[in-house]
Amino acid sequence: MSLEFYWYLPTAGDGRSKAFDQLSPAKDTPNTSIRDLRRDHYTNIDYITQVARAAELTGFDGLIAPDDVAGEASWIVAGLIARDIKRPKIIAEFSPGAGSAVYFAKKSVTFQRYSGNRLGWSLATSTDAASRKALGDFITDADVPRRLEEFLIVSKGVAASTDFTFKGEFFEVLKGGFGGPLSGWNLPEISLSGETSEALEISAGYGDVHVFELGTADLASKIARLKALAASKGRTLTIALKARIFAHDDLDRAALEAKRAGFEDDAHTLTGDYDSLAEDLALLADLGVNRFQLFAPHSLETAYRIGEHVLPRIRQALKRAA
Amino acid sequence: MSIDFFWRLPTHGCSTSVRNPSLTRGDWVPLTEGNQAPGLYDGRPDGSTYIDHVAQIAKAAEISGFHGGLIPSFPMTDDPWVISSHLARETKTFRFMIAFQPGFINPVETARLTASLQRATAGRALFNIITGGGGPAQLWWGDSFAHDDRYGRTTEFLDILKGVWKEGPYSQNGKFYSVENGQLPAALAATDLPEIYFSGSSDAALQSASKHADYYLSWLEPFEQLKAKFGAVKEKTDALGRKIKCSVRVDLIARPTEEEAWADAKAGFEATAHKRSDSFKQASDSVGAARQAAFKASDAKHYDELIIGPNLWTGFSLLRGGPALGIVGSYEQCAQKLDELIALGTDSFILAGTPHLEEAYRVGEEVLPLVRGRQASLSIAAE
Ligand SMILES: Cc1cc2nc3c(=O)[nH]c(=O)nc-3n(C[C@H](O)[C@H](O)[C@H](O)COP(=O)(O)O)c2cc1C
Repeated sequence: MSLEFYWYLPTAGDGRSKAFDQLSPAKDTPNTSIRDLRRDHYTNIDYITQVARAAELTGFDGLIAPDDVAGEASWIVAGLIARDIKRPKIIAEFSPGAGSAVYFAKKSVTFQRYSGNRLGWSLATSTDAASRKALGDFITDADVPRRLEEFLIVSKGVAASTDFTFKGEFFEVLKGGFGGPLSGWNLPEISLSGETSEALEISAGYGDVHVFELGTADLASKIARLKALAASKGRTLTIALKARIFAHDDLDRAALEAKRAGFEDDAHTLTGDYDSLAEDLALLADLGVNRFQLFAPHSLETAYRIGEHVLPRIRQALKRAA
Repeated sequence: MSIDFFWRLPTHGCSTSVRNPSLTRGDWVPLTEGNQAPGLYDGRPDGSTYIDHVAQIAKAAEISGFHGGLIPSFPMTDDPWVISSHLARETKTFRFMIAFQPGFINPVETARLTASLQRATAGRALFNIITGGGGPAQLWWGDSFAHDDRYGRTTEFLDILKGVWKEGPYSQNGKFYSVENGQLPAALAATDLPEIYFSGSSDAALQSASKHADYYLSWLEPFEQLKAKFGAVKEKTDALGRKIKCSVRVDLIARPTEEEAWADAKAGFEATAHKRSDSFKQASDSVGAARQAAFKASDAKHYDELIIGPNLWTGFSLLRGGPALGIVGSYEQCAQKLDELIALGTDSFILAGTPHLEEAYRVGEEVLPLVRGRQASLSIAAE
């Protein structure tokens, strides 16, 4: 069994952004008694890139640029870090409502060419109709899964063939597909999520990764059901688990940090010292989780703590078990 | 008022020499000896990819005095959004002119993409809004809208893009796009809107450009025709109470002497003799493309049949994908042509030469310093 670890990038800022970032509403008035030469040379993206490098240097397998409407666009962030990040996968989260399936597949070919097939997609659409309308997306709740399915059919179609034709309700294409050096690249790995039977059905049929959240009720049986569903279609799925995490070498200090951030006893949050977190993650892996997607209010130091202390413990335990 | 000069980033390879169009840097033709960038070392892939070559060109352009570069987008090219974001952090002043069809990403998402790029680059993003050539290529992209509808959609797209960025929470109920209470987070909304270049030669295009464009962009056309076109756009825009500037996208073969320049045009022409195809003879509803195809470059038997005036040659479409008419001459003559274009109403240029990397230095170092701009335009106008 192998386990993978992905880290979420703070595209909308995090506890550290206050230092320089205008995204923070509580931007401090400058301390004029200190000469400050930064002017406007730095933004959130400089910090995000450091977080991405932190995760790469400490052994994470991938990075996720979330589609957070309060922050930077995920696709731009993915592109901005791509030349600095050499090994980890880079997942861009976006909604099939954001544009045409052919165009997203086309952009992805360029990304794959430049990164050596390291781009992933995480597809999700807001469940709130008003939020969707604010994004220019007037789809009904009932149509969301159907559009997702068409998006997947079309993007997979044009990635796999040079003569792909499809006319659906939401997307269409005539003799689509990529020629010359744009052909033969992998469509990005597709992460999907959701717990409805419709969502599980689409994941089983089209997804590569299904993401659950920590705190999902009956996680083990849901994972088993999804795996069986995929198997019935002759497919296999990677199961990912998304969780907020607080780590410290001292358990009490980890708890204190969680409490300060307002996530004491939170069902979606893991809090612990390095040994206990390694144990918790191993137990979750026993339920069928193959990939952990983690984030923290202090991205940079938590990525280092997890990467330097927790990942080695888990990886060594896996080696001993093997 | 000074003139803006942009260069072009080739998004589907770049010939190593105008004299031999068959060799192409990038992997659009197989990498081999004489054609190994990027990235072969001793006959084997060395891990570099086409973006490493594009980065070289962008840096050459910014070092040699260009504001940035146009990044074209066609079915066989790499993508300008990906290129811009990849190069944002390793360039300093280079501005990314993203060629973009408004049908492909929704306007709110586009606003956020662009504002993020603006923030990451301290305002170095701009658009070349293209509205598509129609025909089978348009459906290849998954877009089945007809010519004039596409321009209607472009107008609504830009309404909403600007609205959510600068007037959020913004609502609009359109025929093609709608939004309800759309806005950007404060830090993104505080960035500048990108300058908008706008391409398209039809009436529908001029209509849409008049409302939203900062620059109306045209391929080079015979000077009188271009003057009339720019005049019409400026008039239409004036009537709407706006100001628009005009920009020309043109290739140069600039050499120390005119003889060398024509010798290179001739060599390039002759190197294409075995398969002379005009890159603009394709099914499309584009008015601008039809004007370029009308030069019938591929019918010529000899390179000089394509000379339509001093230093003006319509054979460029034989040497690479793109428009036919371009400038061939000594450094002084090239600068003189640019001055003539400035005199007839050009405010900005997107230049290109083959190979894009070395020619960025050459044109930046040898031609741009000779351009006299507005000072010259007064004396030319008086002639
Ligand atoms: C300078 C210039 C650059 C263009 N670049 C592109 C491009 O990168 N991709 C594209 O699909 N069309 C491009 N076009 C095509 C036009 O934007 C437009 O779609 C086409 O000319 C059809 O419009 P029309 O009928 O109004 O001329 C370009 C046109 C011009 C003049």
